[in-house]
Amino acid sequence: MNDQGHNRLKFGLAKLRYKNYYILAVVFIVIFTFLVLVPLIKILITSLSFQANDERIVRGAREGAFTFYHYTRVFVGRLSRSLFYKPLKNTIIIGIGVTTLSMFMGTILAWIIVRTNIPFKKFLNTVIVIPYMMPSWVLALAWLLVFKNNRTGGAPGMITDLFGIVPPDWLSYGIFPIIICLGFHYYAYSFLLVSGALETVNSELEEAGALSGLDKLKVLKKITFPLVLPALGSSFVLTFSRSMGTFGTPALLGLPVRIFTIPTQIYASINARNTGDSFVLALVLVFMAAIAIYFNSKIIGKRKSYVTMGGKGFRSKPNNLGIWRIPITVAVFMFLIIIIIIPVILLAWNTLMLLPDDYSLSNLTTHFWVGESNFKISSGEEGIFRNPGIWGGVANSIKLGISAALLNAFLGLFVGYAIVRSRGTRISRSLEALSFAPYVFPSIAMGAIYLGMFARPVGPFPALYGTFWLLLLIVVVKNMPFSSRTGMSAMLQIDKSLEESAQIEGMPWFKRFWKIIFPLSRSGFFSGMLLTFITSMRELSLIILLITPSTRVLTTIIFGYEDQDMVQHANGVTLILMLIIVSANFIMRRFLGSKSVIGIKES
Amino acid sequence: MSGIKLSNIFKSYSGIPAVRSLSLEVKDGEFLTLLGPSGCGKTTTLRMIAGLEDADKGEIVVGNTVFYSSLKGVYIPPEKRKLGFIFQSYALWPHMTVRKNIALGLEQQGLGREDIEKRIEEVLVKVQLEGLGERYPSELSGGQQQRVAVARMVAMEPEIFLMDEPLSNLDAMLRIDMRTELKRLHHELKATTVYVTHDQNEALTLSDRIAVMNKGEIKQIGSPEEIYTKPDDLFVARFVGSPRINILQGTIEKGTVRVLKGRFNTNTQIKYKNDSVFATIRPEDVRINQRKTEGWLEAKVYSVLPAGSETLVYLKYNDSSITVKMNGFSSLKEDDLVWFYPDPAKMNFYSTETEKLIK
Ligand SMILES: Nc1ncnc2c1ncn2[C@@H]1O[C@H](COP(=O)(O)OP(=O)(O)O)[C@@H](O)[C@H]1O
Ligand SMILES: [Mg+2]
Repeated sequence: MNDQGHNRLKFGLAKLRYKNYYILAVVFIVIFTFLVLVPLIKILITSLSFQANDERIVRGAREGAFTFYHYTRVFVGRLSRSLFYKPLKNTIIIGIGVTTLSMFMGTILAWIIVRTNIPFKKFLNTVIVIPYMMPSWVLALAWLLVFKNNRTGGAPGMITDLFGIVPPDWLSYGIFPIIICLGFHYYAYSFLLVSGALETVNSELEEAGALSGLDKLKVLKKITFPLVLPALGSSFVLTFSRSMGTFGTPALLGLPVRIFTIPTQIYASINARNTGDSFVLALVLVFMAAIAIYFNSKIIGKRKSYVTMGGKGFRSKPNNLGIWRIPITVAVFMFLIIIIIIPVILLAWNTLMLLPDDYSLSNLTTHFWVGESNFKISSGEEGIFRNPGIWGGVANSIKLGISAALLNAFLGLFVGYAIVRSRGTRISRSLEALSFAPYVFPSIAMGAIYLGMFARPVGPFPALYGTFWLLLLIVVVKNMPFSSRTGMSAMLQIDKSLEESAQIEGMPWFKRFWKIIFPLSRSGFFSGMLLTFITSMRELSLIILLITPSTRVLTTIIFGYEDQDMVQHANGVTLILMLIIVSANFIMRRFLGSKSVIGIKES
Repeated sequence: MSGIKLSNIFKSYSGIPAVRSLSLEVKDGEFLTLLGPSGCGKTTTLRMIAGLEDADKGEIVVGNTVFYSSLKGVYIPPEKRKLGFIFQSYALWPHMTVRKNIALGLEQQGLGREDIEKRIEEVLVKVQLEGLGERYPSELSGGQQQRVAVARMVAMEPEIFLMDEPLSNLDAMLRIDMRTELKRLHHELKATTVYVTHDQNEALTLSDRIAVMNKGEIKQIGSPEEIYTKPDDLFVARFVGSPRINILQGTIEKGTVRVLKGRFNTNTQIKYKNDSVFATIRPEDVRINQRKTEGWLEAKVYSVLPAGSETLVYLKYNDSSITVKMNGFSSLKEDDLVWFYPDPAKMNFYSTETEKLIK
C-alpha cells in the first residue's frame, strides 16, 4: 500500500472511530441479516429440498436433495385442495370479512368519539382500546361458552343448555364466528388510526364546507372522508394482514370442525411432520403480507402530506349529535359491555361451574381455582392456584414479557439512534429496511421459519429449540419493527444539537447517550416497553410452534387446556393473563404519568 | 495562542457544494463575523471548525494544533477540540436545571465539586441570571435561555467561541440589548470569536472584522468600515447597509463617469475597457433640498417614510428611483418637487460585467 493510501485509510478510521452510529448501524445490520434474512433464505432452501420425513414417503428421496416436491404437493398435487386452496379461500374470506367489520366499527366509533359531543370522551377513549391489549382469541373462548353445539363432544354452550336450541354448525364454529370474534378484536386498529387522523382535521375545514353550502352528509363525504382516507388505507392493510396471519381464533373455532386457514394448516402440517409443506405455506403468507405492505406504503407515500395538518389556528369543534346523543351513547356503552364485560363475566362464571352445563347455584364450585387434584374432575388437574404448571407458565410469561420489553426498548433506542444519525446514507436505509422486515412475516410463518432455523446449532448458536432463549429471540425480533420505529421517532424529536453541545463540551459517546439521549427519550422508551410487554404476554401465533413442555407460557397453556376440553382451566388462566396485562398497563401509566419530560422538542 | 486558520475548505452535500475553496484566518482574540444570506454556508463553515461536520477537502488549524487535514490525514473529534459553541436553538438540555446544564461539562473536565459551584455562581452573575440556577430551560424566557447558553459556554473557559446566529430567536428589542452584552463579554474575555449572522446590522455592530459570504464563497473580508464604505463587489454593496445602497447606471464619456442618463457628471476619471459602469451611493450620502439649487437634479417625491431618528425619502428621477436618508423628521410630502445631489466623493464604481469594484 502506498503512503497516500495508507494515510487515507488512517484518516477514514480516525473519523469512523468517533462516529459510533456507523459502527452501531453496521453491527445491527449484521445481526438482523442473520436473524431475518438468513432464516428466510434457509426456509426457502428447505422448502426446495427433501426432509428426512420424506424419505419414507417418496421413493428415491434423499434428505437435502433438491426438489419441487413440496411445491407440487401444495399447489398442484392430489392434496393441494385441502392443503392449500381451501385454506387459502378461508383465509381470504376471513380476511375480507374481518377487515370490513372491524373497519366499519372502528371508523364509526372513531368519528363518534373524536368529532361529536358524546359524553365521557376520555373514559371511552381509554376503554375502547382495551380489546387491543388482550389476546385476540378471548372472544373466541367466550363465543364457545355461548354458542358451542354438541357436534364435537364436550359440554355444549349456554344456548343449548338454557333454551334447548342446538345452534347450527355455521353459528357454533367456522368462518362466521371467526369473522365476528376477530372483527370485534381488530376494530381497535382502525379506531386508533382513524381517530389519530381525525384529531388532525381542523374543523375549520369542515366549517368552510358548511359555509359553502354543503349539508352534513356532504361535508362528511367530500371533506372529512378524503382527509382520513390514508388512515383508512393503512387500517385496511394492517387488519387484513393481521387477520391473515392469526392462529388462535381460527384454531379454536375452526380446527374442531376441520375448517383450516393457512396458519392453522401450517400448524397441522408441522404436527404431521410435513415440515416442507408448512414452509411452502409460510412463504405464501410472507408473500401475501409483502404485497399488502407494498400497497400500504404506496397509499401512505402518496397521501402522507394530508395527514400532517394542525399548527396555527387549529380548532376542533365537535359535531352536535342533537336528539341522537343519548341513544348513541347508550349504543356505544352497550357495545363495550358486549365485547369486554360480558366475555369476562362468562369466562369467570364458567370457571366456577363444576359441570359446564349446569347453571344451578348448587353447581357452583371453587374447585378449578383452589381444589386439590380429583381424578373425577378434569383428569385430576389441580386448581389453578395450586397448580405448579400454571405458576410456571405465569413465571415464564412474565419473564418473557419483561426481558423482551427491556431488550426491545434498549435495542429500539440504539437502532433508532443509528438510523437517524446516519440518515441519508445507504447504511441507514439498509438498517431501516432490515429492522422493519419482520413486520412482513406473519407470526405463524415466522415461528415456522425459526423452527427450521434454530432446531439445530447454527454458527455460534447452540440448538435453541426447547429453550427460553428461542422464545425471547423470536419475540424480540418480531417486535423490532415497532421498537425501532419508536426509537426513531424518539430520536427525531431530540434535536441533534442537544447531543452536539455535549460533544463540544468533551463528553464521550457513551456518556452523551446516558446523560442526554436516554433521559430525553425516556417516555418513548417506557411506552415502547409497555407495548412489547403486552404483545409478548398475549403472543400465541408466534410461539405456538416453538413451545416445549419446559417453556410453556400462559397462552400455550390456555390453548392446551382448550384442546383437551378442560374449559374451566382454560378460561381461568385466560382471566389471570388478562389481569396481568391490565395491571402492567395500570402500573406503567401511573409511573409514566407522574413525571413526563418537559419540552423535549426544540422550536 | 489561538488563532484559527482555514485553508482551502470544500464541503458538499450529496454533490451540491455548500462551501467552496474557503480560506480564512481569524487572529487571536479577534471577533470575526461570517455574514451572508441564508443558505450561503455560514453554519456549515462554523460546524466544520467545531468538527461537527467534516470538510471534504482542506485544513483547519487552531493555535498550533491541526484539527483537520484531509491531506495529512489528521482528524480530531469535536469532543477533543475544547471549543465553545452556541447553537441557534441554544441546545439547552431540557431535562436539566440551569445549574446542571452548566455543571455537566465542568464535571467532564474533572473539576471538583466546590470549583464547579464557584464557577457556576460566577458565570450566572456574569450573565445576570443569579438565583435562576434551579429553573428548567422551559421555565425561562427566550432571552434568559440565550444567557444560559452563553453561561454554559463561558463556564468551560474555552479559548475559542463559536456562535451560530445566537440572537436570531429573540425579539428586536432584546436582540439589541444582548448585542451590548456579547460585545462586553468579548471585551472582558478576549476569546477568539467566530460569529455567524445574516443580519448585516448585527455584523457591523459587533465585529472586528467581517467576512461576507455568498454561495459558499467568501466575497470580502475586512473591517466593518471597509465593508460598508468600500464593498469589493455589488453583492456585498447590496447586502450590507439598510436601506439598500443606490445603484446607478453610468456611462464613461471623455474619461469621466456620467450617471442618471448622462445628466449628472460625477467628474470622476475612470479608465475602463467598457463605456458603461455601475455607480453606487449610500442613501445618507445623497443630499436633498426643497429649493432649486445649481448643479443639483430635480426629482419628484415618490414616498416618505419617517422612522423617528431618520426619514427615508424615495425619489423618482425619470425611470430611476433613488433612496435618500435624512436626519429627523421632514416636511416633505408625496409628489413634492425637490432637488438632490449624489455626492461623487462618496461614490464607488463597479464593472458591469464582473460587478467588481473599479474605483
Ligand atoms: N445536513 C445537510 N444536508 C444537506 N444539505 C445541507 C445540510 N446542511 C446544510 N446543507 C446545505 O448547505 C448549504 C449551506 O447551508 P448552511 O451552512 O446551513 O447555510 P447558512 O447557515 O448560511 O444559512 C445550504 O444550501 C443547505 O441546504
Ligand atoms: Mg445557518
